[in-house]
Amino acid sequence: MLDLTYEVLARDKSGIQKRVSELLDRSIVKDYRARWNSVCFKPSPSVVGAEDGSINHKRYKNLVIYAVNATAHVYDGDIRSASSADVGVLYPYFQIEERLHLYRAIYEFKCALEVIDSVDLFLVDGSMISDLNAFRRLSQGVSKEQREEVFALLPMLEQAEGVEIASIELSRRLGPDGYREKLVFLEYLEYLTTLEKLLSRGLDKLVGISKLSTRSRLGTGVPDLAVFEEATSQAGYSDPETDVVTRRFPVYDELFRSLVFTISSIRLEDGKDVYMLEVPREIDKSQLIELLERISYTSVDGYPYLLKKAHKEVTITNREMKNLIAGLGIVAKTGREVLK
Amino acid sequence: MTGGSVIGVCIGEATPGEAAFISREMPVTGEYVTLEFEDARVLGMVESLVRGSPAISGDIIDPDVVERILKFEGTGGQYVRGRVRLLGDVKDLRIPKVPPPPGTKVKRADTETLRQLFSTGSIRIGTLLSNPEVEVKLDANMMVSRHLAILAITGAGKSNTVSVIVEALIKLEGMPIIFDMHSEYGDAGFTSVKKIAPRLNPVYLSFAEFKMLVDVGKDAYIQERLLRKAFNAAKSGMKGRGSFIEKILRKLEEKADSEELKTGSEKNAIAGVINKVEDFENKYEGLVDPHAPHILDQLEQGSANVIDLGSVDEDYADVIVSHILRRTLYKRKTGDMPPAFCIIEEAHILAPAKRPTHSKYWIDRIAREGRKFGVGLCLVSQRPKSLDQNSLSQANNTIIMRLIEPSDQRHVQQSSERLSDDLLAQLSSLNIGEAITLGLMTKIPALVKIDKYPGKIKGGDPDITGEWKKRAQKQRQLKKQKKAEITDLYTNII
Repeated sequence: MLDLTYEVLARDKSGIQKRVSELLDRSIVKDYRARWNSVCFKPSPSVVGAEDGSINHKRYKNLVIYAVNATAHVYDGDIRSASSADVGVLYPYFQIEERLHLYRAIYEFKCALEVIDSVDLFLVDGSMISDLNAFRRLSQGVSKEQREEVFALLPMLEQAEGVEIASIELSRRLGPDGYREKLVFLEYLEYLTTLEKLLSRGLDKLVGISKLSTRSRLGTGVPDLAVFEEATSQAGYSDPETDVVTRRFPVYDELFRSLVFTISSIRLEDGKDVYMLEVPREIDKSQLIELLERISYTSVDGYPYLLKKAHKEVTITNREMKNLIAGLGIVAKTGREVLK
Repeated sequence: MTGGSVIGVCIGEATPGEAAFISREMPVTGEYVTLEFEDARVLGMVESLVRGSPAISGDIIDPDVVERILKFEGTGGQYVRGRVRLLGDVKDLRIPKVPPPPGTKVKRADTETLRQLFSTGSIRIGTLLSNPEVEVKLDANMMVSRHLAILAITGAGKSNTVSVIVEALIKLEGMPIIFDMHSEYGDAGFTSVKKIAPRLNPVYLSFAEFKMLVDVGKDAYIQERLLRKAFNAAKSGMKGRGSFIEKILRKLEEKADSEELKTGSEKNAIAGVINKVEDFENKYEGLVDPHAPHILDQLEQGSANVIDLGSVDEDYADVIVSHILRRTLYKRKTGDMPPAFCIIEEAHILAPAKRPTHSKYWIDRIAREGRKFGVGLCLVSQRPKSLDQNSLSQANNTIIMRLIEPSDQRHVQQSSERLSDDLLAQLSSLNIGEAITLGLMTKIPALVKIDKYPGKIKGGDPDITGEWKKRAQKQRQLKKQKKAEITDLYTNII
């Protein structure tokens, strides 16, 4: 870091501190208390499932090694799990970060599909609207002809079973012209296909729980869940809102755009954190309370325990990634050696 | 038979001396295991264990959260990690040249293998803590010739351990000599016991020992010279009647009356030394006996020779212990007595770390030379850090019981290269009567449940409240009796 940074900090310190105190001023957010419905949730027994996934990678100058984990847990008196892991080389060397996150999402959804039929309620880590809007860039730069070539493989994608990424195998059928773009588009189609399967089979079961939602509809300039976290402390929920996805999709467009999502900020226990809840259907307040009571049944410390358990189990740390790489015995350059 | 049930598997990096493992079930610390690799079957000891649950991590601050997690998880999902110290091939205890590969199965060592390792000595002190079917027997030759230290806090079972060893030595027709600082062992109920009063015949004392008892300081040169002349004269068969002390006093008085003393300081010195010898006579009346036989002549082979030092002060105890150690070493050099095992209770008083004593010199000397001449030392202490490090480090065998003070633990570790960090960490968690035995008397370190000595040892905590109750009852009875007597007397008078 440049020494100049300290000089700038010294110069602007009081201004920054003032701004921070303004943003943390509870009096600003107290008006939003009226939108909060305090409820003491009575846990209601339910067969609950939850999933999470994780990806890590090591980027060399000429190749990328990735490792991906996903798991889905079900609690029906005992905890049952469906898990999947993969270690591989990302090929081609293209759209790396986005494709790796897409891989993680595919694995997560496929693990979820393994258990979705056996649960009353299935918790997804994050926002499904965000999932639908994600990875759009991966469909760009593909000509109409190239799309047609990829669409020809869609039935096979739809029929693919198991938890692995089918596109990698199916990509062998693609011609050399624009291979890179076609493969990435194929992977994106697999993502949408899997998401469609999950939404179709779990439309009345899926619940997205987002810890870090940036949704900001209150007009305060900060995320809504941060506003309610400051303004309230009791268990409850904010007045539910609905939302839809307006963008177009290369496949299942009608289905995806027909979905109406109900969204609410929620707190399961007094004094605990506020999360963003999202379900792919329209529900009223009483249905929301009923849903939250079922979620409370398997929650610990104000957060769904199965989501926490899944997160803990799948996280691939940098140290673990290093161990995996060591196991492969790869001798390759990262390009950063010169900086050491 | 190639070992017992599989309890875990090696993980991570291992060395030829130690390996980490994860376990399906909970072994116990000190448990013996075997690992088979590279055509060898290697014995190991579980030295440390960690148990945890990924679900119940250390950052939880609300006990209710734990309760709720347990509702979902039950007790499943827990893990046990441990470290095994590799002790050597079960055939010859040679440390393997290569570490065990990851994935090597960790098996419980079977009882037969353990018996071959721990039950071949001649002194039974107890059973393995992890397997009560396996007797722990010490090699008597190694224990005596390479010396022993028994270290523990008060009440951890030192006296019991000493008694168990002494009884075993009696059975071997050995010659244990106990310097009994707290009068614990005389009535302990040994199969054969020889109680020896701590009476010294001054004739047998060296001048240095005598000088110390008379309390002539090391800087009192004139007094020392006068006393030495009188001592040597009395010892060389000075003519006339009277005991050895009387002869010394007579010699000193003659000197005081003579014309030889010219200066005032010499006259003061002779008066001072006469006073000191007279004080000595009064102070140690009954202990210094000119007719007493030499203590070493009273020792009996095949008996516990208990020298009761409970009623003497530290100076006297120092002189008597150093005297006996000196004479024992001498007699063994000349072959005039059987091999002896000298048990020194409260060794940190007689061989302290930071000040010289007569005993310390001879303890150190026997620690160095005793092996060649068949004189063994057993240093018993509750304050290892106050014990002379030289002497302690010469004790090639150690029985360590519960030790809490970190400084004591470090001191012991500095004196014993066999005490690993993991074993050291266990010292504070040992229960009464449990011990770690290290050294040449056992083939490998052992965690032992020491046998309970069946006799009566006074070393235990006294029943204070019981004694108060008894005395109070006795006083009430006495009062009642007196009252009755007075009433009787009064009635008779009327």
